[in-house]
Amino acid sequence: MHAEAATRQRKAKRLASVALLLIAFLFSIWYIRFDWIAFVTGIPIFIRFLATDFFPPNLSSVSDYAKPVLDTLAFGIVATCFSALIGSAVGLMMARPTTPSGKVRVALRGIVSFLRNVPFLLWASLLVVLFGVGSLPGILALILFGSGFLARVYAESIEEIDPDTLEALDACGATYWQRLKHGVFPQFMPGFITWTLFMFELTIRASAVLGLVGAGGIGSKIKQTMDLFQYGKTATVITILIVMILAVELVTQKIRERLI
Amino acid sequence: MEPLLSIQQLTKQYNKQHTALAGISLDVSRGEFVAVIGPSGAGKSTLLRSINRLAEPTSGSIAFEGVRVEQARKKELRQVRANIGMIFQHYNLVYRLSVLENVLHGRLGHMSSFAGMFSRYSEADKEEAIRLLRKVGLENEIYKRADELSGGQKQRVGICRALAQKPSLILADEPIASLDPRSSKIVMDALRANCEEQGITCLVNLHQVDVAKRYATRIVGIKAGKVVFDGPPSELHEGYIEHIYEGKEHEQFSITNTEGISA
Repeated sequence: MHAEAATRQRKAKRLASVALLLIAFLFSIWYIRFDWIAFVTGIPIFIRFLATDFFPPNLSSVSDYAKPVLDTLAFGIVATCFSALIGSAVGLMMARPTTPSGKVRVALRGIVSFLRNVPFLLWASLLVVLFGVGSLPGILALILFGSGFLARVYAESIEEIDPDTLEALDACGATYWQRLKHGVFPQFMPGFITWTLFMFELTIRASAVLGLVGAGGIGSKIKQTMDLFQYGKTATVITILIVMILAVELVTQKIRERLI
Repeated sequence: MEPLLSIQQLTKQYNKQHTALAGISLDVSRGEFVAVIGPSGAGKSTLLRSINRLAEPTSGSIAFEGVRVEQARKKELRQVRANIGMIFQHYNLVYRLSVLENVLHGRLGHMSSFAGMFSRYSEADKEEAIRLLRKVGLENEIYKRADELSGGQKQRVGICRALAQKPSLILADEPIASLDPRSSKIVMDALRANCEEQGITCLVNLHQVDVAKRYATRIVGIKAGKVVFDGPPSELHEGYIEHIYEGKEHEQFSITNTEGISA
C-alpha cells in the first residue's frame, strides 16, 4: 500500500515538473515574440552568407596576421605566468591544509569567488574604458580572471592531498615551510601543471573575444575585417585561430604527458 | 631513574558522547618495548597520538624527557616531535618522492626551517639514511619512487624515517595492521632489532595479542579508554585477554592462524 502511494506521488511530481517546463517554454516564446518565419527563412540566408562571402578565404594579406598571432601567444604566456604566480600564493592561503588561519581562508574565498564570477569579457570592457584600446586591458582582464580561476582550482588540488602524509611530516617536527616544500609541493605538482596548461589554452581561446572589445590580439583582426565587410579575410583569421587552438592543445598535451 | 615518558590522568574527549581516553596513567622507562593492546575503538591510537600532540589531550599531563608536552609551545613542541619517531598503519610516505627523500624527512625536525626547505641535508645524514635502508634490506630501492614499493617495503621505509630522527622514543600506530603475515614479521623484527640496538624506547599499538606477547617486554591492555592490564607478557593470562576483548573477541585472532608470526 505504502509503496504504491509513493510511486503515485513520484509520478505526479514528474508530471508537474514537465508541465511547468512546458509552460515556461511557451511563455518565453510568446514573451520574446520569437519569429518562426524569420528563423526558418534565415537558415538558407546564413548558409549562403557563409558559402559565398566567407569562401574562399582571402589569403592576400596572410602575412599581416603573423604579428597578431605572436601577440596572442605572448599575451597568453604573460597572463598565464602572472595568474599562476598570484593563483599559487592565494590558493595556498585558501586551501585548508596550508591556510594560515580560517579567517584568511574565508576572506580569500569571497574575493576569489567575486573575481571568477565576473565574466572576463566584462573585466575587459571595464579595463578598456580605464586604459584605452590596446593589449594592456586584455592582459589585465586575463590575469584578473585567471588568478581567481587558478586560485580556486589550485586550492582544490591542494585539499585533495592525502592529509596523512602531511601529518607524518608534522610528526617529524617539520616546520610549515618544510612541510610545504616536502609534503605539499610534490603532491600538488600534477594538479598545478594540468591546471596551468589549461589556463594557457583558455587565454588563447579568450583572445578571439577579447579582440571584439578592443583588447588586442588575434581577435582584433576578426573585428577589423568584419567591420570592413572583408569576410574572406575573416574566414582566414578564424582558420588561423582554430589551427592555433588545436596546436596549443596538442603541445600542452605533450608537455603534460612528459611532466606528469 | 626518572621515566622517559610519564603520562598522568590523561583524558581525551572528542565530544559529549565520545570519550576516547578516560584517565590513563603510564610511566615508560628507557629501553622498554611496550605493546599497547586492545580492541578497535579502545583508545590506543588516541593515546599514541596524544604523546606527540597529533591529537590534543583534553586534560592530564604528559612529560617526555622532562618536558611537559601538553603545555609545550610551538618551538618546544617541534623539539619534542623531532625526538619522537612515528610509524603509521598506512605508512604515510610522500609517494611521489624517492625512498631516500622520504627517509631524509626524518632529519627535518633537527634542521633550520630554511636548510630543511631546500633539502640541504648533510653528507652524514645521507650516508646514515642509506645505511638504515641497507640494514632493512632495501638497498635496491633507495632511488625508486616510494609508490613503486610493496606494503611491507613501504613500512620499512617508514621505520627508517623514524630511525633517521635518532629519536629516544618511537610510537608505532598499528604498524602491521595492513600487512600480510610474512611482511608483518619482517617489519616487527626490523623495528625490534633497531630499537634494541640503539636503545630506543618503543610504544607499539597492536591488536594481535600473539604478536604483542612475542615482541614486547611489557604489555599494556586498554579497554574503553582505561588501562586494564599492565605487566610483562608472561602475566597476561587468558582471563585478562578475555576481559580486554570482551564482546570483540574476533579481533584478537585476526592473524593468529598464520605460520609466519606465531610459529
